[in-house]
Amino acid sequence: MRRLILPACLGLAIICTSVMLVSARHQTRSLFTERQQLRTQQQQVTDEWGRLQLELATLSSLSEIHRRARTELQMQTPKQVATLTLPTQP
Amino acid sequence: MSRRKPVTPPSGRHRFLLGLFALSALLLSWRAIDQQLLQQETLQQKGRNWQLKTELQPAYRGEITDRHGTVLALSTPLVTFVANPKVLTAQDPNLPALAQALGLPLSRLQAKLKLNKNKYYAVLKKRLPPDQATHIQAVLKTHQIPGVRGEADTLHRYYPTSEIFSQIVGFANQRGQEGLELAYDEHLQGITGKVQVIRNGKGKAIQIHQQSRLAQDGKPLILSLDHRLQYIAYRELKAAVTRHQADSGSAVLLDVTSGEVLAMVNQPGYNPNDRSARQGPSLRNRAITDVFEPGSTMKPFIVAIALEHGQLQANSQVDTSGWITLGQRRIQDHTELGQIDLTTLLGRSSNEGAARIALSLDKTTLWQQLTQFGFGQSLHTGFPAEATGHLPHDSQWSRIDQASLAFGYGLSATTLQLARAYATLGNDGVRLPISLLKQDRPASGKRILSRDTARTVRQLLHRVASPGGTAPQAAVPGYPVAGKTGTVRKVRRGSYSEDRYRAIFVGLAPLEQPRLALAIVIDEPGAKEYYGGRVAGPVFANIMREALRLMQIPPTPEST
Repeated sequence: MRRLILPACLGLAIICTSVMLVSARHQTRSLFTERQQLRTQQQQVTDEWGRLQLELATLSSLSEIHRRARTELQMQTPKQVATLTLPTQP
Repeated sequence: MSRRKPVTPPSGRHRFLLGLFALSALLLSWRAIDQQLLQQETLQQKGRNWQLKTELQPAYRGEITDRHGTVLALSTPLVTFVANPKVLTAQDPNLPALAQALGLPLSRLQAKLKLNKNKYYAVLKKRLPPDQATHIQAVLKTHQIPGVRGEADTLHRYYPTSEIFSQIVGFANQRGQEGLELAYDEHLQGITGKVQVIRNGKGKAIQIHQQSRLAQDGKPLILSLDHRLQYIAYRELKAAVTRHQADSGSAVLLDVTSGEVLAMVNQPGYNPNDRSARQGPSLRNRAITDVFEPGSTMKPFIVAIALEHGQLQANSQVDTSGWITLGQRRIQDHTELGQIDLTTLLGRSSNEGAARIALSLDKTTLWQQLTQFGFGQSLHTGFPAEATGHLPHDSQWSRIDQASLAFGYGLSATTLQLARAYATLGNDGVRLPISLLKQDRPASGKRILSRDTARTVRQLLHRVASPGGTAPQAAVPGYPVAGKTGTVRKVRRGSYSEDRYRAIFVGLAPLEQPRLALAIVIDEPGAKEYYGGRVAGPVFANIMREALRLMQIPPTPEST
């Protein structure tokens, strides 16, 4: 009887580790899939950011603002007497 | 109990069957040996090839921004639109709207879907720019069109400021080709990642086998330039070049106190987004790559050197009556000014007066001091094809060479070098290194002129942009400026041309404590006017006025 204890324990240990191995494998794969998804998401967000930056740059183009201020809003640079220039705050 | 039959020798049929079995066994074992031992390597390789896939992870090229973070160059992917023909069929009622958004004829779209009707994937339109892609996404959403999606395709480099920063930023395809895109290519490029993944039966990646190279995006580049100042400089220079029908022009605006370049523009320019425009002389960043004789804009340096070495005092008088004869040549002013002070000498730009001062100086001292101002020296901006200009060594000077230097002939410089030399006068005689990138810490400079001399020369230069000077057009309301005109005959076929000029104005503002140095060069004005004061002067005034306002520099009280 006593002679069987050690092999039984070892057998049990083998079964345990195999189950753990399988679960670890599974976990690795699901984490990897999640990582891939996040990476794709990150890429999409980056691309969206780039696109928005481009859009912003197009909309805030100084020549366009200049043109619209002058023609649509009839804005003009004030004469010197009307200009108050303050020094930049440190 | 039956007695065992005596073993009879196998009949022919038996033998044949046995033989067949033996042969099959032999074949099978051979096959096993072949597969397991001989072909092991190839077969394992095949398996790995199916299971392992090498994926490249793209690295984004770093963006280029101005000093305030405005984007000047940006990489973003083009978008390819694909459909799932199992979901979106050729009979879908929304197809006309989709076809219009994609810019495809309806029949083409239907044909594409029909052709791939048994597949899950059909490319509709390849590599669309992001703005068009946004529009299509919007159409997909409003019409609720199923089974179509946009996929990120190859990266494309955009230059939203178009022509305004064209020569300074340059452009890149896969790698930097021109301008700062080329100069800082390594910095901007980034590293493409490489990873081996294990795939499952459906071809989906399930695990990383080996990451052989980590993807690393390129680093951003922050320029010292300010896009608002750049825009103003661009607008004014372009207007002047057009108005005077000039061949070309360039302008450089420097921060006197830090040595940073705030604006640098050249005409003609080009649109870097248009690949067909990426050629010819408009690519040249003339302000850095083209040299010219600086003409009368050299005079303040001659006066400064004479003051510094005690040859002159601030209140000295110079006799310009008559002329100087040196060998074959005679140096004489258009209008004889007689006995004049230094303010008049610079204000009226007397060649004879400047030549007399230059001739009174020691050759070596003059050469050394001009070198200190940066003439004939590299600026180390790192910009591709930066020119150093040329200042002959004093051992090669004849008397006439020495005299000609005083009014800017016989040496050459770039617009940037000229602006920098004036910035040194503006910075009370401390020369700063020039930078195209934003500086976080103040640059350490080198004093090459005493503070008093620099201030005196600036005061002397005030007259130029006032009534009675050579460039009253360069005056800026509210801010006294110091500046100097230059009208230079161009060299044509080895001699000086009679009708081709270069108009120059370089100046500093505000006079008492300069913050900005601005150099304007307009090449071959074709219309009637060609004088530096009349052609380049107003450009200086227009840019400087706006720049002072945008930098929130208060006007000088007495002059308002």
